[in-house]
Amino acid sequence: MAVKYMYNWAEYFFFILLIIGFLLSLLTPSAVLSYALIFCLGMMGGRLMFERKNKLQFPYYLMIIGLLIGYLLGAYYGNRNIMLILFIIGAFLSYYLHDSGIIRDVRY
Amino acid sequence: MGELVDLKAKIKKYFKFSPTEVRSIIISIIVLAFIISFADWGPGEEVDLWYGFINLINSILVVTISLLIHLSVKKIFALQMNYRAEYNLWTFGLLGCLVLAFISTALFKNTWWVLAAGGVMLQHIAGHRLGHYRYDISYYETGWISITGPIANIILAVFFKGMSAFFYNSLIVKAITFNLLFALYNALPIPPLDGSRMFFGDRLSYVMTFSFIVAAVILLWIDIPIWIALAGSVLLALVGWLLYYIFLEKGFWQGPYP
Repeated sequence: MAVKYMYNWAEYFFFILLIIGFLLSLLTPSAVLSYALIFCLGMMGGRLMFERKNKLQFPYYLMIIGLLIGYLLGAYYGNRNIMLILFIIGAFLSYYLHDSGIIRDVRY
Repeated sequence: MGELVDLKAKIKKYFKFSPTEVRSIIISIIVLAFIISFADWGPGEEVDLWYGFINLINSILVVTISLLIHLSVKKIFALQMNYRAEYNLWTFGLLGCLVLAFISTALFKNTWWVLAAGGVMLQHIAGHRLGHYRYDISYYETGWISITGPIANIILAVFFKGMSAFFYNSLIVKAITFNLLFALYNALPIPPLDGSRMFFGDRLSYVMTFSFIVAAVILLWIDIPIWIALAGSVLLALVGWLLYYIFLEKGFWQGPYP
């Protein structure tokens, strides 16, 4: 099991984040909250991509896409296209803010 | 006396907020203020923009005072130990707090105040650290510097609670609650929050300070006299420290000569 996890961690996290995204969007009872939430998630994704700049990126893209798919699947209120656009805007904005040094943060 | 004069000179020379730090502080203040005023955008279920705006401004005031005191105390203690402390955002933490605020409001009609904004990074001040054991950064000192922030928030909460006896209003209650919760969340051992620095610096000191903070948060929240709350917190901190040592730490470390 442990060996399989080491080989397939990206797929495991893709699935876990898909479920988390699905549950998060199911829990939001209005379109405005859904939009705000997906924007925040997009910003988290952008931050993660900034951290993986010039490093191994593909598994992280996979996980972020898992979260996005899960969220869009569970979205009941609001327009899915707008959510997708807000996610992309959030990710790009966060990446740009971190890349240009406007936001400098710490994780450890 | 000489140490105080030295500290005064160091404060005069080194106590400043860099432009990046100011940006991080402003972002943290806005996000935290938004979270603590998220449920106050109108009386009852209605949305009233003016009412919400006033609440947001009040929240910004509360968060600004609390965060600046929290950071200033840390910076001064860092200078005392010849380090320079710089505040850094924790983007994932702040965004996670926002997500939790949205979800909790949607589900429970009650906003959860999860307040994890960032942590400080320490750099040694070259030259000033000469003669210290570990010229470079010491985990133990880093821990104590970091934990002064939450303790400053507890003291600020005590001050506001004292004030509430004379001027009781919702703003003071919000200030007390914010400071207590901010201290509690910052004391958690999750990097880069202050508790993690203390946890990796010295576990026994961490357990004592964490027990103190948890006890202070509970005892200051309930309606008992302040001095009893503080004395009780110190007592519970000592009990927590002793229990941790007897039941856990003693087993980890049995001394150099078993």
